[in-house]
Amino acid sequence: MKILKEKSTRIIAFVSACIIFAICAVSGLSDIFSNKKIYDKYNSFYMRSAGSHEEAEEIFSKLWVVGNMYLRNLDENGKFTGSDELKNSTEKALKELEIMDSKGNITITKSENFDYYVSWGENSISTDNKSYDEIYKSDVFSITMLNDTISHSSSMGGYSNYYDGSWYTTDYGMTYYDFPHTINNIMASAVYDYDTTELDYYIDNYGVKIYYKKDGSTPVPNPEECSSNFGMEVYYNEQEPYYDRYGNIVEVPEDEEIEKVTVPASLLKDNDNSYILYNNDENKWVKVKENTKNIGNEIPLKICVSPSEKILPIYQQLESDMKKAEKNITRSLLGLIPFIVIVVVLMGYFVVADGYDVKQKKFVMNSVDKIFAEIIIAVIFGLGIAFIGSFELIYEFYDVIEHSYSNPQAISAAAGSFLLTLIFALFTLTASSIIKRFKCRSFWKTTFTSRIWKIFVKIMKRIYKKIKSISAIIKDTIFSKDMHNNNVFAKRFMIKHGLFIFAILLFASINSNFDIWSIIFIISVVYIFSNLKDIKAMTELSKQINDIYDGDYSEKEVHMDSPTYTMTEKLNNISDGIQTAVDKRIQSERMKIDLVTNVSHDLKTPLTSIISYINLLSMEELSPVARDYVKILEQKSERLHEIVADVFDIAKATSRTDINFEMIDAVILVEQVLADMTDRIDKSGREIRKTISAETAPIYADGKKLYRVLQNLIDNALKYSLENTRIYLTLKKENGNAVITLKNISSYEIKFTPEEITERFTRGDESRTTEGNGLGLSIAKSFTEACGGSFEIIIDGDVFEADITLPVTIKEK
Amino acid sequence: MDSFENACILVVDDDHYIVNAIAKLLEKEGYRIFKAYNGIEAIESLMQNDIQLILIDVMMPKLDGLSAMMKIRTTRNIPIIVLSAKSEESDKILGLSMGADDYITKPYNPMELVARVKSNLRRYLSLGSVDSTHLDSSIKIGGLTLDKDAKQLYVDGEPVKLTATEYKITEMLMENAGRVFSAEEIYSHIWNEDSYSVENTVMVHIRHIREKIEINPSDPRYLKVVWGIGYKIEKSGGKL
Repeated sequence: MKILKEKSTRIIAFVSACIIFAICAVSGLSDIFSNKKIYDKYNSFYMRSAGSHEEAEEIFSKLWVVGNMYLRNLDENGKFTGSDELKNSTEKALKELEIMDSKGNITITKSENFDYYVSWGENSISTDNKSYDEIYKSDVFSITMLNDTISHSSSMGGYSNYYDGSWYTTDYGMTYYDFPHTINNIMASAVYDYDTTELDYYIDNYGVKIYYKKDGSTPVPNPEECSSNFGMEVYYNEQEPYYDRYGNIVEVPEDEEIEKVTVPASLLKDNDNSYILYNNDENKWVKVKENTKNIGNEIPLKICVSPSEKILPIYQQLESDMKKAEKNITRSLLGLIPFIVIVVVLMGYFVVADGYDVKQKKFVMNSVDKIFAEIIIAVIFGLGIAFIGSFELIYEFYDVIEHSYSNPQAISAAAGSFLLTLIFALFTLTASSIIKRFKCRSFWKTTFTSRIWKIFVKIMKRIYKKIKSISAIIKDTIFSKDMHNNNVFAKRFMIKHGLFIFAILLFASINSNFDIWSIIFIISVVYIFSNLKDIKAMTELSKQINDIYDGDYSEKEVHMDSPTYTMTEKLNNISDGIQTAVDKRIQSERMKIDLVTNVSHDLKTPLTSIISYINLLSMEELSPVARDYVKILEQKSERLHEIVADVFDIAKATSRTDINFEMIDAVILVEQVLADMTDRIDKSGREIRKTISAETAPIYADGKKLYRVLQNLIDNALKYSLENTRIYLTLKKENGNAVITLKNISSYEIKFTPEEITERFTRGDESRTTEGNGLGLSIAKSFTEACGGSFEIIIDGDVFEADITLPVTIKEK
Repeated sequence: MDSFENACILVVDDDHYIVNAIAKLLEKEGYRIFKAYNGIEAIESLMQNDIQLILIDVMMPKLDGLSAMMKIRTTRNIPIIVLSAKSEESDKILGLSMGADDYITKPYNPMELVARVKSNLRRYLSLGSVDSTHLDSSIKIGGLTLDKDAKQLYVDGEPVKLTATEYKITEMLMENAGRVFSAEEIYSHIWNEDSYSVENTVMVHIRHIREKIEINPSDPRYLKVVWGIGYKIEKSGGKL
């Protein structure tokens, strides 16, 4: 099996198949050529138009004329039944055709080569008065007419065709005969049952004289037209119907006022079997009716022509030769069948195995297989036609060399075999190539159609992409909501091009010239789209600037061809710089927070010991002085504890790590803080005037943190306000914000700015003698900001005001 | 409370001075103190001695406080108080959820420390029997036990005297532990009338209740102000 897959095996099979085929072709062709002469002879005998057989055909035609024109009009006794005029006319016609001699005897032929028989009903004429069956020779050759059917018969078969009786009789007394075969070169003839002497006539296209009476009862042609040629011209005008060349009424196209048609006069009939003729004298159309006699379904005409004893042996010889040749050829061709089977098997194997690659273990294609499949298929069809056509060529070649060479058969067979083998080999190879494509499952790929399809798909994709990108540009620049707000370029673009399109349309309404129009249209489209590209680039640039403004410093990529390429690159550099700076700042801020956190954390451990031991110390037996000192130590260590805790809190708030957001009510918060601090407020001797001008103020924030903020502010106010003054606390809703304001009159001159006081460790009284660590307002500020609000200090003379602004949230549900 | 004076307490901290200070403080209260300076020592000491309470630091070498506590919790049910410099809420939640009964931040207030130690010891050593008798009509949240029949509140087993209003507020909050009540709600429920600006009135009572039930009223364990919303008693009780 393995050997079958080898390429060499395939080639051997192919070559041997070709050789066998060539040998078969030589053998077959030389057999055919050796019998060719007999064939040709035989064929020439039996072809109706072939020269040597003409005589039989003419005899048949004569018999047809005798039957139809003469025998038909005889009664049982052989007497002519028609008028004298018809008899004269018929005799004249028969004499003209040399069927009747001057004595009035019917003479069909003088050659005696053929026997004949003709009968119409009872009346018959035949060679030596033989009967139909005596004449008829089915095994050699006969031309017969029976039951309206003309048959040519021979031992090799024959052919027959229905004969529709080409003669008719008109109601004005003319009978027209159209012969099945020319007799003395006459194709047709007409007879009349009226006197035609001194009548005018014209000659129709079959060469028959058609007589006409001038009283209009017979067809009157236009002499000029008819005598000169086969037909006459028919003029049409609106009053008369229009007839085509076969006499049928047809619709006339309205724009054609006059139609000129040349028609053969004898065929100019309308559809009710009337002749249409133009009477020149009266200058009008004349209609003459034709009344075809009903001659029944079957004409009782019986004709037979057969070779007579004189030439019968020639026919018999021909028949036997032909049969022999036929047998020879059949035998030799049958002998070739085994070889043909071998050729088919070998070629079948070649086609199946072709293209298999042993190394790759699959079918592979070669360069031929990559030629477009359509071309190969066309070649296959071409080869098929050439194969059939080549036989003709080979015969012609034989005919040409037949007489110039001593052995034309061998030469022709060799040449023909070469040609056929070549076509066969090429056919096999091309067919195999197509099959190989199927084996490799790549037939479609190799077709030109697929290539075209691919290109088509590619183009369509590209168009689709283009349309998409254009629509994206339009969407981005014109329909984007964002751009309406921000992009002045897009707005200006819309206005400008709107005006432009308006102007174009205005122009269009004035000028309707299509050429100018299409040019302007194309220019406009190109103009608008090129501008659209620019506007897109500008839009992207402005978007990038927006992004940078919003804190997005990511790098933007723009195509090198874009008009904003260099600008985008520069912006990228700028935003990169900003990014670096911001990163650095965030990093240093974080480091600061970490530092504070760590420090405050590390402070706690020794502080714990200090507080613990001070406490233990205070429990010991001490002198009154020492006890005072311990007391101070206790107080100061406690304050140190507070400071550390505050610093830690600020650090946490700034880093926003410890914020628990929830929905709370600022009104309740303020109330709660005030209630919580009642004791301290009372103790301080100050009065807090609260004004809450809202029922609720829902905010999303950390309640604990805001408690610290308010506590610090109130503590501050209690500490630093002038004695016996009032502290004003208000809460109101303003522009979607809850604003808590705390106002008090300072007990000392305010020498700091609002900025300074919110800095860490800044205190109102610079001597720092009072309690407090200076972190109160700083905590308030950072906590408020951590809760998403803003904190502001306003100083007006001695009036100190703190504003906390927090965004009011619309409650869910 | 005097009956627990000879209870044994294990103090664990890597700072020797702090351990000594706590030891001194608690010894003055009459407790027996065992000292350990890391988690491993703590576990060893716990196995060798009959310890009733542990005070443990979080950040320690070898084995940190939380890991040690988890190990202890697998075998022992004694009260554990975490003592840490980490004061953030997340730290407290972590400590309590890992098995601590209480959480004290450094620097601690000595008085508060003592109070909390006592409270935890009392609950551990005496309350188990007290509670079971009042199962039906009592509400227990952490160290708080409310006997509704006797209209009496116990804090760590100690009866606390409350006024009628204070009792009503406490009962209401304890029955709905975890739920936040606004001042208006509390007011209309207790006084049975609507009123404006009741924050002050309610807050005064809340403060008074706190002073009675909390060890450190400014850092309450049970009764809490939810700033900007209202008041509540924590469901889990004692845990924050």
